[in-house]
Amino acid sequence: MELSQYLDIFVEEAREHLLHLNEGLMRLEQKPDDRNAISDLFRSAHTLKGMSATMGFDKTARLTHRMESTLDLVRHEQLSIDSGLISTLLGAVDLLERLVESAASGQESDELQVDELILSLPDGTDDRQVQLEKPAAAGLNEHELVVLQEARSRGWRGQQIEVQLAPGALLKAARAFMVFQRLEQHGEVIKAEPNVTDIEAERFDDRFTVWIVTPSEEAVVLDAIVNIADVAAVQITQLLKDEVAAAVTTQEQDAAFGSRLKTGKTVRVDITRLDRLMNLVSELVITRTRLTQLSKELASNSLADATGQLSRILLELQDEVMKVRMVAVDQVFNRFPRMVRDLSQQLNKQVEFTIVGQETELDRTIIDEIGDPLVHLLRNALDHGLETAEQRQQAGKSKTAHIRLSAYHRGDSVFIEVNDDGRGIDPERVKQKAVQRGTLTRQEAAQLDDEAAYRLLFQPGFSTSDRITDVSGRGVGLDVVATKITALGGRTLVHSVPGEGSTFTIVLPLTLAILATLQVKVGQERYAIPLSVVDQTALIKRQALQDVQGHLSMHYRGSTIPVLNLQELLASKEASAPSEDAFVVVVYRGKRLVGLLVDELIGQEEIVIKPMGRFVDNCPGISGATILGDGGIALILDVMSLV
Amino acid sequence: MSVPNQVVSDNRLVVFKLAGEDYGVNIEQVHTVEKVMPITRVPRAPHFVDGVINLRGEVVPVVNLRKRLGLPEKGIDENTHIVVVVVDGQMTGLLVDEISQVLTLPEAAIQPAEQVIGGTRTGYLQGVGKWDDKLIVLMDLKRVLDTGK
Repeated sequence: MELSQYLDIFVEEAREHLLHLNEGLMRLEQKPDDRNAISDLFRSAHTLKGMSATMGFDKTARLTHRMESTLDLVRHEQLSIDSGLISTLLGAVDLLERLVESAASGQESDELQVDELILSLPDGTDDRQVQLEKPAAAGLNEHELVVLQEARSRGWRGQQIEVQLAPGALLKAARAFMVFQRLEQHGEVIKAEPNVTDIEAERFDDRFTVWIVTPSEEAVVLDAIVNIADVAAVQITQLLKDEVAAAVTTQEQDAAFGSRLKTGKTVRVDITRLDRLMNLVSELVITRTRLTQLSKELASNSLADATGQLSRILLELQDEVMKVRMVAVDQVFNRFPRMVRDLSQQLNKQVEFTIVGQETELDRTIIDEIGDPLVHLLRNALDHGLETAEQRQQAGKSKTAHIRLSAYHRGDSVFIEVNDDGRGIDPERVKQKAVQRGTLTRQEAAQLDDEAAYRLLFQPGFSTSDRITDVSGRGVGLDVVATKITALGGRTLVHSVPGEGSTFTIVLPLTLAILATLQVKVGQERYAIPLSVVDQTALIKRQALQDVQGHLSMHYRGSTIPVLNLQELLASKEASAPSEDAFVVVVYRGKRLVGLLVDELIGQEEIVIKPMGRFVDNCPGISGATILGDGGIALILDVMSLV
Repeated sequence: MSVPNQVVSDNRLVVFKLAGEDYGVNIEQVHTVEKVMPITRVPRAPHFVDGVINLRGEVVPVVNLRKRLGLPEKGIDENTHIVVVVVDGQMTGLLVDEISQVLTLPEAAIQPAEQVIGGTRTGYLQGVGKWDDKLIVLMDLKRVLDTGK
């Protein structure tokens, strides 16, 4: 079928509208008199209806049509909003989601039934149509009516726009011209009164009327012209009966979609193409490193110059490609208000959920991966973190609990925090649990500080909850979160004050593919340490290292930090004899500092991360590999899983 | 887009030597055969993985087939080759003593491995084929490269 090529676009746009519907309904539930929310909802339902009718997805079209009718009643204050109505509408959105997902395969699922839901939504179609129908599209001649008719069959709408300029406005013709120009961006002008020649010659008072056909909503058109200087008032009247265009032929549907695609200044690109682009840039980065090395070996100034220039251009190219791949975390966050609402109702907890920094951008590949971990963290916060309303009152806290999801940039990393003001996590209780489970001895537990205790939460199967609930299950979750985030090159932190709440923080690299590293030698082997975890490098005398039963430590910034001998840890074969001087790279392991004893510091280098492949992709302490300028391979150290 | 004759494609083998015996893998699973090149050791990898190589810009793990099959170990020499195979969409290098030939084995010449060889190796083998007066052991790559996940 001809329409199949538009299916992807349909599904993607439909998903966006469904998100808007979800968000809008949540907003409306909070503030039932939010006029903007109502119009937004109406607009999304309407657009979705038009799209699905064009694609021949009958059930989606019928359901959205009914939703539109209901929302229109709300809009005209003939129906008031209560939580029952919101829930019915949310139910309709859920069903629509299932319909759209099934439509992604080309056909709406037969198993999904819309009729019952349609009947449960209040209907006011007949009244509305009378209201919106302008008697006999006043003042249009036969030709103009034909254009209107034709536009209507494409799913477009006719609008009569009355524009009132400010009294005594200068440059009236110029203002009118701007109005026409803007309108033409949205559709076609079919008639003007007075006519265009007269308007151009400024032969009109301060009012003129334009008839257009457009795929846009009234509100969109209004937005486009209402801000033009000297425009005092605009009134838009819809000319066409607004109904599901059922009898439209396929050819015309195509035309409608085609013209819709031409508008707008953005392009949707398949993510695999961006991946390929990124890979190619990555290859260039490798080649550049090789060239830089060559120019050093050959001691050629002109080659060095050219390489320098190449480097600068490459840096910009890399930057641009990276930017293209960046997506706002809102793409993931926007699902959560609905989820939190549903869960809090299910758990009978009053929760105020706020999102901060949803405009923060991350690489697309990372965005795709962080959804599940965040769902886990939010569910945990709701289920385990928050007390019930009664418990909160007994503890002298407000009845309504707060959960805050925030995202922000810092340096080369993006921080995402899930913060709740619930009961907090008692580190002692965590240790007790670990002892009970037999993962720790009592003595070991006693030695753990709070941060180390919190890290136990991320062990497989660990749960401090005594209850087992539907929501977060049996403590499966946090270990999955940690594994996923580590795989993304990030880390997970916990901070908690018992009685006051907990904060789970995910720290992620901005991008996955290219990593700034410190290159070191261990024995004869070369390793790369992500710069994001490096605090400092130090050259110290070997005697300055304390050795207590094989455990090395050193003084650093007024405290003692453990030092790991990488040669030993990585079982390097060609161990070199320990020299008097030692290089230590001080790195963050979670929030704590740890020294890594290495044999040589090579320098900083930007590297391209390559996947490791079968058998070697899960070695603890190694998160990936990279190909060096000389064709050799350096392994990337993962400090978290090293010991 | 060639759709080769089933009999021919099933039995076209790349044959290599391991500890004096001839082993074969289906040619359709072989991506390339390379002379041995520098192998970067990966700490904490399974004992039969020698490390990773740079195969024209891709990082590819190398499995030491002698170690994997429990045969006595042997150093690398000028005959050592790496047979790069693709299984489940992933490239893996197989370190072998030397490359012998490519040949086509008729279906009738293949027997189940258990009848010919005993011991632990049979788990990794698909069957044994006869070629002239030589025995060629057919490897079951899926099992040789099973990560146990």
